[in-house]
Amino acid sequence: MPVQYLANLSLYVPELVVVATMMGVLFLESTYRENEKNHHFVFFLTLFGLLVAAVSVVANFTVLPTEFFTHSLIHDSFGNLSKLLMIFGTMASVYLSYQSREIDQDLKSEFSAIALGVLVGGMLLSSAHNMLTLYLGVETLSVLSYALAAMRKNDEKSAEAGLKYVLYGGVTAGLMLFGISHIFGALGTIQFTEIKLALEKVDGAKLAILIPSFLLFFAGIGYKIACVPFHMWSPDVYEGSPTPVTAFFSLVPKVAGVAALVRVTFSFFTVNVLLNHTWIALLSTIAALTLTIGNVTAIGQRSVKRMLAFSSISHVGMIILGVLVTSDEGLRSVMFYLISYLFMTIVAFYIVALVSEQYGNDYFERFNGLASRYPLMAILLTMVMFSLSGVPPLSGFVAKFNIFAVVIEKRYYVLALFAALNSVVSLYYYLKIVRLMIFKEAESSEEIRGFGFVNQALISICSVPVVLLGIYWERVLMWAQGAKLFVP
Amino acid sequence: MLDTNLTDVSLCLFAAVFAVVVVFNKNPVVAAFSLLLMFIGFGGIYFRLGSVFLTTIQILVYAGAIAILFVFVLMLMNLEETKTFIPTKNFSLFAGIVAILAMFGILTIIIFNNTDYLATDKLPEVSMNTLFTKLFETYLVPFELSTLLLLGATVAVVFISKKRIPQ
Repeated sequence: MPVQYLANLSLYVPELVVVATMMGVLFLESTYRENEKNHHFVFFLTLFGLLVAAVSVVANFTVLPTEFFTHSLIHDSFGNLSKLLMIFGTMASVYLSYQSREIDQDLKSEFSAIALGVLVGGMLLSSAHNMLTLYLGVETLSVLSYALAAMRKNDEKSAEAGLKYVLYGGVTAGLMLFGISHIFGALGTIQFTEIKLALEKVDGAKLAILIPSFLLFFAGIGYKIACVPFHMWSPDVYEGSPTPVTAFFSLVPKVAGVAALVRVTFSFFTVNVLLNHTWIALLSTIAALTLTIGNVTAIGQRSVKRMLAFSSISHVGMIILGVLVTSDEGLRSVMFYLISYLFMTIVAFYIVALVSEQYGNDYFERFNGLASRYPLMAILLTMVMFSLSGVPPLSGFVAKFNIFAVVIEKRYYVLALFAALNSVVSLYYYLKIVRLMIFKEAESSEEIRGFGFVNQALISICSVPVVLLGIYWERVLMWAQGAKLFVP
Repeated sequence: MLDTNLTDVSLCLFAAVFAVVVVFNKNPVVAAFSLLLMFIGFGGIYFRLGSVFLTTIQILVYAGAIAILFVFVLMLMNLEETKTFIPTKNFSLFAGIVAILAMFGILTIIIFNNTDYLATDKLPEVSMNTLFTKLFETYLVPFELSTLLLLGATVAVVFISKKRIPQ
């Protein structure tokens, strides 16, 4: 047994690197004197550790898919790609936090440490292969996120955000655990493979227990991806947290939750017909509600961050549409959607962060006349907004198109109609900011300090994929197709 | 494993009644003690299911430590505003006698139905062995990862409660 564990460790190097970096950050932080303001080394160490982790994830791409650590975890290319996305998301948010003046200087190293911890939770969630590791992943992700949400302790909104997050999180984690314990009670195992085998031959009486249990089980995942009955926390948390934290929340926990949802859907709900129908019915309802509520509520928002929060809720609706078709093409389109969503979100939050830092808030009016003062930034933000609403030839269009294609192929016409109508609605609020930037007079002529050369260059680099993914999408799609899920 | 009999029913009732009391009682001290009794009831259920080790842990950790912790927290908090229900002398005498009789009744039923179980020489040896084999072989990784969760939670708590230097 011990030898087997040691042999498996090589597959776990990325996670170990991230944990080691987290410890390193904690140690390094304690070597600073109390009055020292700039913790540059912490920042460099974090980025370096994340880079090493990314490299080791890439190095594991060639290893054949397998279960390891006595079936607790699974190694496959889908999990690896999600891990890579999460690492990039963390890198971007750590960089943003380093720049940010919304986060107090003496809290920046803690932000790095906690973000790394959340990342480990996310990586765990995306490769979990039994209920226990899945639950641990959800908890590691949540417990650390609560602290991030309540980062500005003395700010009323931030404290409210933290408390809301904790209360919702506690309730949904409890529901999920309740569901898991019933699944264990009915099937007698928590290993995904064994659950799948057991589900092939369950009878009606057990299904009567299993269907409600799976609904409860969904609560935990639904909360992490913020789909509709569990979305209430998300706008408040997004608005109350500092912008780098918001960017982080809209990337890492979301990718992790989607990865877990995909794995659970493909592992459990492809074997039993009745269970499959129930799950698809559940996901369809939730996807339709998520799309509609997310989009319609986004219209009336005053704060751009809050608008982006609602828009990210509706994007989750689209992703769920890709998940519920349970086919390889669906998986591929979900992966592509996540990749393009990552870049669009990073650029949008980057620009919003720099603007809101200058003025102290992120209301729509702050973007008035940005086009005449910072044309490049205005063009890039316009491009990202077009891409988020799904206008060709940008990456958002291709991502949405792929989802539409798989949904229509499966003949879910009503869902496709819902998604199409919602895309039109989303155009309204995305273009509102574009209109303000271009047609309104600027409120003041003071320079926005954040838009220095380096930041403008970085934003430009980050937005290159938004265009490239829209043009060379076939190649990326081929690559995303390699991200096969391994269901033993 | 065992047929449902009077012991099981009374244990479940015992636990359920005190669980309801925890939720609906307005007096926090009574609620905390009911919680303790509910834990003990759970311990009895585990025992009936044949897991002696789990029973011990349940009594030691939950009833012994966690419930007492609750009581301590209640003692440290200021509870003057909460209205306490002060029963009349006759009522408390009556309720006390009923409660004591019920407890002894349940204990008698349990003991007389399980004389063979309670003989210490017949304790199932495997219980602890199986548990730790599972914990340190099959579920070693989740076990280790939970330490990471605890570390993270510690960092988060320090982060939240740390004194901020105003800028």
